[in-house]
Amino acid sequence: MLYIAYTILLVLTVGIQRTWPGWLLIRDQGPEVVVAAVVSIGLSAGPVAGCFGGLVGALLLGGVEGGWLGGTLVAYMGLGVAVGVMRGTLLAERMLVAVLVVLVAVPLVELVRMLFSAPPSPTPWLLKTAIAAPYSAIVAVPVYAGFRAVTNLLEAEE
Amino acid sequence: MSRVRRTYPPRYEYGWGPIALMAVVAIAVTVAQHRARNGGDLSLPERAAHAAVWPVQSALVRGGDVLEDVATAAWRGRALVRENQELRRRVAELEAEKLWMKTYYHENRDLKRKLGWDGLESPDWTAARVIDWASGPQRKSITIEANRELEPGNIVKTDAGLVGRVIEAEGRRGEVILLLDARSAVAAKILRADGDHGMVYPAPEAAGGEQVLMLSKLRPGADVRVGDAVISSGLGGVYPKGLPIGVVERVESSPVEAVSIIAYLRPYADFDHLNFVRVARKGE
Repeated sequence: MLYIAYTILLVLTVGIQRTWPGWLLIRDQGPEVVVAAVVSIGLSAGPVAGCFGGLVGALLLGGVEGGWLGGTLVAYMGLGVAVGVMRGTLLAERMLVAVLVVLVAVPLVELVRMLFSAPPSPTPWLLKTAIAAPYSAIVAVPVYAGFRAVTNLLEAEE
Repeated sequence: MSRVRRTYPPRYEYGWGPIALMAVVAIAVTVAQHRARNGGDLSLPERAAHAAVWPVQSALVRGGDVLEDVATAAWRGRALVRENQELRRRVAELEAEKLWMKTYYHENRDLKRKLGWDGLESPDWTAARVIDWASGPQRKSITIEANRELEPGNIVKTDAGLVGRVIEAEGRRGEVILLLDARSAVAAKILRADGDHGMVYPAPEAAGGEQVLMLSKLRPGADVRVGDAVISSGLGGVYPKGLPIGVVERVESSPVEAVSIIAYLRPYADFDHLNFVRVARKGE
């Protein structure tokens, strides 16, 4: 049940990321909502769920973006597993931790994706990442709250 | 209030089996995508992603519009009433103008029929809303939702000029490859009596920005001038003839062959602000 809920939330998350309103873009850049979602899943439910979140998130986002899936899958699944493994030890299950992890995760994910599919010039990539990281960290607040609430609700049921 | 202390399993007890299984799935999906792309097609997972996300995007775009309307109404109540009165007056004027236009349209159609120009009748365009914008280094596409079923090959334009064509369709939604995409090529001609024919491709970024097209494969010594309008020629059958593409801004000799000419165009369509477009079937 929890995994079905995650899948539905990830579809919604990808939809939100891809249709981010124009008036909320900062220099044509919106937040990486899917990264925030994968971090939230990993932090709330562990590495297996994090890996699942990364797999589904990367498939949906990569499929809609139309780019190559390989780099996106590696980056998102790796992120989900890493956050899941570190939760409870290095990473506490707290909102502030989720925000900080997203702040660090966005450049890392973009770096891995860049290794698989290099951009034509580095400057726009750097600018995009510099805007997306803090922006995504802000968006991580409601995203983490939502995933945390769903996890608590459904874990209690199970 | 006491807090529940969560306990975590040691790392070797995490379910590494399911993670390995998901890694295998990821590899299979990547291989499937490469195979499908080599055949010029979309893979099954990509189709599934479209089927799952496109309806959500459509609903979000509509919901966003409603929210924007509500916010605008709350913010500018009095001004909106005045604007509404002004618009009603303008509509009345336009209705009167429309009656005149209808008269001209029928006159024009009768004249075309008498001159034997029936074949130049414009296709039946339907409106579509843009629900997604995808721009990679080489890939520039949009996703649209139209009022009717879409098919691969449908032509997409704005009132200003040609935008591209539908390459993937599922019901009323479809992905449109823009003229700026590296895979795009349009048979074109200079809009002049006996204007030269060529092909319009996206210009390399070094040629002056992301939104520049180039007209190449012109005959040696072709007559191309700055300010010339370029339209689709209809050759090859991908695009119908007569659709405006862009205006020539710069003419250069080819770096490979001096007698060959390349013209750089500014597209008529504003690719930065594609919110609504028009779609027609290829053969219409």
